[in-house]
Amino acid sequence: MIFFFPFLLLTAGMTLFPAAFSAIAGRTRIRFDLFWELFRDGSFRISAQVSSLYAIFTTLSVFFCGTTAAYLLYRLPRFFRKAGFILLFVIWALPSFVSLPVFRAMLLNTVENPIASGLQAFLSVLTGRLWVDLPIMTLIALALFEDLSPSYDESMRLEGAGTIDRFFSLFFQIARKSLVGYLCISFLDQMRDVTLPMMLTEGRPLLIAGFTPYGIAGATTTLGFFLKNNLVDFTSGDSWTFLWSQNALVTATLLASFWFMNRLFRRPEKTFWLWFGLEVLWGLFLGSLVFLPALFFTDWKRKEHTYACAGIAAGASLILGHLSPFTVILWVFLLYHFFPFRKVFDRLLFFFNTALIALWISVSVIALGFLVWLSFSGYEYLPPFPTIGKALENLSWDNYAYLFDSGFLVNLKNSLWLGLGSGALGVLIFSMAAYAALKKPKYYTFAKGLISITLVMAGMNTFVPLVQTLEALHGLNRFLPIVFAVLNQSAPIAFMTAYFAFRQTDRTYTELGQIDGASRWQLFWKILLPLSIPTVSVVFLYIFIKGWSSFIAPLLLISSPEKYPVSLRLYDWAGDPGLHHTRWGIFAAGAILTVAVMAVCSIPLPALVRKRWSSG
Amino acid sequence: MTKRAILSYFLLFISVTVGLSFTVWVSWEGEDWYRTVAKAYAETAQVRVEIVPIPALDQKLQVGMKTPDTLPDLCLIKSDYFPLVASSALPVDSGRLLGYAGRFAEIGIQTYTSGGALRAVPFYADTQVLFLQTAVFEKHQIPLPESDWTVDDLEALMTRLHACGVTPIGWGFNSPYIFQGLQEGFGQSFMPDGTIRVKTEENQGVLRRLRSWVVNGWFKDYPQRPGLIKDFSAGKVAMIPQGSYLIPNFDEMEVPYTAVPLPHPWKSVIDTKAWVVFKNEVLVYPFLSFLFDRMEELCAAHMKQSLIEGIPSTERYSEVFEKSLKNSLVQPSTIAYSEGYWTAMKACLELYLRGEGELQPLLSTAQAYIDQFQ
Repeated sequence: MIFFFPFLLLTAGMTLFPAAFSAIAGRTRIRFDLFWELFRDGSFRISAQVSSLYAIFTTLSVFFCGTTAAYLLYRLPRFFRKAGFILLFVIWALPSFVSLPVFRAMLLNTVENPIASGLQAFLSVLTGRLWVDLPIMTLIALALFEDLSPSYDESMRLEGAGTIDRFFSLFFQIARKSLVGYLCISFLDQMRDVTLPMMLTEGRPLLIAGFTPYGIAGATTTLGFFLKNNLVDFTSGDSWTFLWSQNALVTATLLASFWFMNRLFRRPEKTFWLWFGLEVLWGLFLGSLVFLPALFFTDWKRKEHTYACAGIAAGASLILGHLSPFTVILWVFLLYHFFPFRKVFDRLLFFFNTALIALWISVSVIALGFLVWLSFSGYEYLPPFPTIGKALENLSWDNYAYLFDSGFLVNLKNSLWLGLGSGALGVLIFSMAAYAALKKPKYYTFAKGLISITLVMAGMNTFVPLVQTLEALHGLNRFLPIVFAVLNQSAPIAFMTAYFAFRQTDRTYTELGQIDGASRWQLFWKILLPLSIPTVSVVFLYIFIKGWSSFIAPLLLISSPEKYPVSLRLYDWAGDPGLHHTRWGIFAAGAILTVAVMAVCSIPLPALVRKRWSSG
Repeated sequence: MTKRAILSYFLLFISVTVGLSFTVWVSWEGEDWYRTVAKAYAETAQVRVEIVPIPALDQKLQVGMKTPDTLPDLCLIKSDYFPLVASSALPVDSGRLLGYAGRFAEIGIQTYTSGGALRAVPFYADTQVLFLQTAVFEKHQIPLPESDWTVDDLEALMTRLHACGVTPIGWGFNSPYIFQGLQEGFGQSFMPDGTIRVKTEENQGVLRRLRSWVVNGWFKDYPQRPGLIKDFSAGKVAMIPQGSYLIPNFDEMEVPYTAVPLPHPWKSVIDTKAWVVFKNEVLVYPFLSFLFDRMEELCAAHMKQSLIEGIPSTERYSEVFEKSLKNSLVQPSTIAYSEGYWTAMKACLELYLRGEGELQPLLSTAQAYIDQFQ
């Protein structure tokens, strides 16, 4: 138990404890009438609808594009594959507080007004999310494809299957089956996305139905951004009751979405009544009328019934004038299971994705070049794309000199402390928990449950009660809560990676250690951990990058400029789209320096550790 | 060997720690000037002053108010941040400001008094003016307006400019910073008792008028200021109402422009700035006196209006600023304004001017939002 306890403390403490503490700390009164009012409130419902649409489009487009990109890379000659891999890795490694402002600058240079209409703004954020998320999906899918024996592909080719046919029949199916869990997590994550709508469109343009006394929502306001805005606006006096209630409502929505999605993908035949009940509730009970025809299609073992219910849900959305997250999740399920459809459509989709990938490559190369050029230019306001002739004019090192004069080294040091602290603590906590889970299966089951809670809860909806709790405990403006927030977000991948690494180690060594009388701690520290160093170093690196790149947690919890990590410093120069006095040149120089330092710290580290332990 | 390398690596980063003894948060223009003055002060008084520029100061103060230990010794704020910091600010001890006691402008004293005491030291003000792109006027042979012009004259001018194929005027639709000058020029929403009433007949008239400008193609939306500056520099938009702080930027960018007072009765918003003392009064006040001694440079370089009598404001455009001050509006310093009015009117303006809603319900919702804070 002692090995598992820190993990339990971390996950429960960062998700359940703040919610409970803030409710009983005296500043919040539970008001059920307020819950009902907020549930009917237009700003909340608009945010939920936007979140659902944003989640489905981003998740599916990233998945389709990513698997196509991975397949194309897989088929390319070695040199081009390596070049593609490097570009993907570089874009993936760019922190969001660097990549999104650059994307915004490029967007403003290309489109006169990205928020001229709701559709244009929505497409802007979709494109931004695709640009940022495509690399990781491609890299994961490529790893799956490379693990596949080439004989499968070869035998299909010999049977006369074309390139696109082989992709959809073999590679796409592998990716689809292997990544279903990742897709579901990604869907939930996008529903509470904060960074992208905050940095690109500020949730705008606003919608009339989203303008209420309880909040303001627009065509790109996700649930996460909606909560973050209200946390900033309503932070005085009696507003904590309102904030807590609103936060609880969003959390309940996310939990219901997760529960429904989990049931639907595992046992669709037993999910009809759950879906029906949620839709009627979401439709404020009037929905029971328009959903009545669904009672003729309750047997979801038959796909015609599931199709019919999806159609009824679509019709009900039009009649009632709103879209529920559960309807969207049903559409995701259908698209997942019944795709691909027809050959012609498949071909069109493949070529469309290929065009998107070509666009992605162009945007990435231009963005990197633009960032480097900007770091040597003197631009403060919106920088235009330079012409070839003017690109080399008036370049200087002034921005870099300013960084050192303005104390940027302090910010780099703060980020390093956050990264190293998160990495070191994370390795200890998650390795110990994985060891406990290895020894007793009940801990593994318990850990999976905690991770599920973390997956659903860890996000902006956790931050509201966390800020309330920290304020009550005088814990604001400290690094430790940020480290814990980073660890909480890293928990799912870090724990599972450590657990599977330990499971694969040769048990002979631990058995021999037990025979020699080693204690549990000695078995863990002196035998199991050293044997798993390569994987543990990857876990350390993963958490280190998360800590180094942390942005939302410091934005909400840190107020002293001398404690700013680089993310907040860069945000202050050009990251905030509402800034009137931007300093793009200094932002770019700081961004280049940040990425360079991160690369220097993270790239040699695993090799260094592996070398040390293998020689020792 | 590897362990030593790692340890050295750690120690190197630990050593990069800056010791701060006296912190000043600044924002807006003049960062280089503050640093120069701080450096000169350090050499004279042997007291180190750390100047920390904070671009999004309101958000930092909102988080900082929850952790008073993290507040700086001295902070430059604007009037709408005052309600946020008033309770934590130390009362101003004018006697410690050698030679400057009793010289603060009445506007500043009224704005920054709370609980019967002055809680921030008035510093300077920015004035709203109307910038005209003179190259556009010259090209189309349109005479520049007189300084005592009216909103009707402005509409006639916009008609002419529009006929020439130029966007007559532009700013962010959702900007209460610009709108409130029209609101208070044609009516009154900011009541003497500190309450705010936006659902008035006069406001409805003003909003309908602005909407007609949009429909006529006279008024273009610029959601972000950099895009507005870019188009103004390029001559794509002929007029922009903005603060006088943009003058040095236009000079640097070599934009052909001039500045005129806003047309009557459109009021010019006076955006005042003041210094709030949170701690270390013994160190802070001598520095402030030192700063005020050199303030004329800041006013000249950044087109500021000094709020301290006897310190000359900039001479350039002095007539324009004088006329603007006669028809001016000081931003309220209440929570209902900074947290309620600002957010609600941003939404109301954006939705109505884009043609997305009816005026009465929008103003009703805005009023309901504001009422939560008053």
